[in-house]
Amino acid sequence: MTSSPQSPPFQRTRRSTNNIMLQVVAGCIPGISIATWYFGYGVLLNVLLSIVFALCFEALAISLRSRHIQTTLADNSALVTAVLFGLTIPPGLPWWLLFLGIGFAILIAKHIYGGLGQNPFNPAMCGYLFLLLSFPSAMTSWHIPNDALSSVQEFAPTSLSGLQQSLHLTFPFLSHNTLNPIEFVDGLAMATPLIESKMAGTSKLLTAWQTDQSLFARSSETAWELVNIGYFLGGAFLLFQRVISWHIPVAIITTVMTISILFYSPGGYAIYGTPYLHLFGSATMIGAFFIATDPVSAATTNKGKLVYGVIIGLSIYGVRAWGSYLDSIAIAVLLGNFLAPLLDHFLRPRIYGHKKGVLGPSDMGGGSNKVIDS
Amino acid sequence: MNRTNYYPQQPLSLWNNNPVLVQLLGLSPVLAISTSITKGLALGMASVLVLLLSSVTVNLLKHQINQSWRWLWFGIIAAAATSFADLVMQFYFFPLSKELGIYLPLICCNVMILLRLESSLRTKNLAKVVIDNLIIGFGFLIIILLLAAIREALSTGGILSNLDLLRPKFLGPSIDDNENQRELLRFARLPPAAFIILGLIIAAKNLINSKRIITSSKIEIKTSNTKRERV
Repeated sequence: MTSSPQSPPFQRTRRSTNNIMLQVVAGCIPGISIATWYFGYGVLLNVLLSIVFALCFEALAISLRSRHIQTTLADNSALVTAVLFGLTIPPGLPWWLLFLGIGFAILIAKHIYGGLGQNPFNPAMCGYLFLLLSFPSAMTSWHIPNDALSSVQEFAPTSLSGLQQSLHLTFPFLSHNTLNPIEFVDGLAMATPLIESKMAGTSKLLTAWQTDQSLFARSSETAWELVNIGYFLGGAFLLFQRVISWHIPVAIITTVMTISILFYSPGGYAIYGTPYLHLFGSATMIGAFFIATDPVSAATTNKGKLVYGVIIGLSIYGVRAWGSYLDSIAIAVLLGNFLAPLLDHFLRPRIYGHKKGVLGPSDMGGGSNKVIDS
Repeated sequence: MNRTNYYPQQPLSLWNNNPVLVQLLGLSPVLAISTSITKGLALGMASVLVLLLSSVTVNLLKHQINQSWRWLWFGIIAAAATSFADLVMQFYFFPLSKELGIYLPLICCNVMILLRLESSLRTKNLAKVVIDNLIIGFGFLIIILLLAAIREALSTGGILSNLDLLRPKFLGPSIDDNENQRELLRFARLPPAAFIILGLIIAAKNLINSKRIITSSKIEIKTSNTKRERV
């Protein structure tokens, strides 16, 4: 008779990597659908295209590293990278820019360091910053279809002509006429409302509410606030599922809110934007809930997570208010990733039954942890 | 530990003793200057010149140089050779020396050169000093040219732009065509790209090395199998 030595009560965990990654993707769905409603099919097209490219690159890297392709692809980590990358880049970007960016993210930022679990930096943000540094003008202005602009079609779902225009923008070789794509697209839009409203906008949701406009009509310009609320709900779903812990999002949001309240002066000379705009008029929510909480590149101890979140929050606000970039999530998250091993080293929790760990240079970087026996 | 272990006895080679790829020395000029082949060629040639001049000087003065003060001597000799190269560059290639900027005087701080001075102090034969330092210098030059070619091709879409800067003063003024350069991938011009591409080159070299070891060990196994005899 064989019986394994067990003692109750044990709760079996059904968590696997691919399950967690799928839940992260599921958390993105409200934000993606609201963004697609307001900004056209280009958003969805970006996400789908980068998923395809990311899986191809992942398969290439896995086969180069002579791992088993099916089991490694099934962990869905490339899927999450692709979704986050596709959401950060502007719609209407040509396909080869997507190809370059996601290739950099998967090959250089992830597999050069040893694949999933070894990458010190968030791959999606590395790919985004690579594109931003290489093609600044293409990355900061983007085209949205006519339908997304016309205020006549209040409730028009994203129509097929919008899909056609998005396809033509993404695949320039599809359009037989040699016209400039700008000729059939009406407007250029900005990354987030941060830049246009000079950081002193009022809540469009509140305005629409007071003037009896529909909240979901495109003309009421509630897009960014609703997108952020969508990501907030998705993040709440992740928190509820315990895919992420509360430390990082709470630290980031509290820091951004506190510092933007401190610096906000409505009649002052320098207007740095309302706290509401910093939280809901920008990419703060997706950054706090989805990007900064990457379990590989973030800090792992609880105290470390709090400090990591505060650092990211401070640099988000700092780059926005005093920097020259449009939005700062990627830069802030990469800075946090740089500091995460240091935070984990100095903010190590005490192991039960031992005194506090000895800090020394010898056990930096994955060495054996020296602990004084009590 | 035996002191002679520090100084390998087998002849130096471009592959196994490459200062950039193996010893990882003198990286700062390589990373900073390798944005175009012209600049890389100029800085690489200047480094080779400084390396040769200073090592020959050190070798000739080896009986005068005090052991305990030798690093001071190395510094002075390398700085003198660098000043010479800098003045020659400023006289004949003034636009190019403006392009290189601070990295031309900084050659005297190149650790690759200072370490070579240490070994040329201990070499008896002057010809061997010249040959060894030529090998090391050309290893440096080849890698800086390779890195510069890759970065220039990625960032502008072509190589060998601004080659006119290499024309010395007595052959007429050089024309600076910096303005009409295309921009393909701006990231390749930035410092992170230099680190990434250099890392990829080192990785490729290590890959080739490991494949060589595998094939050579296979041959050894085969030969040892054939030679196995019953004792």
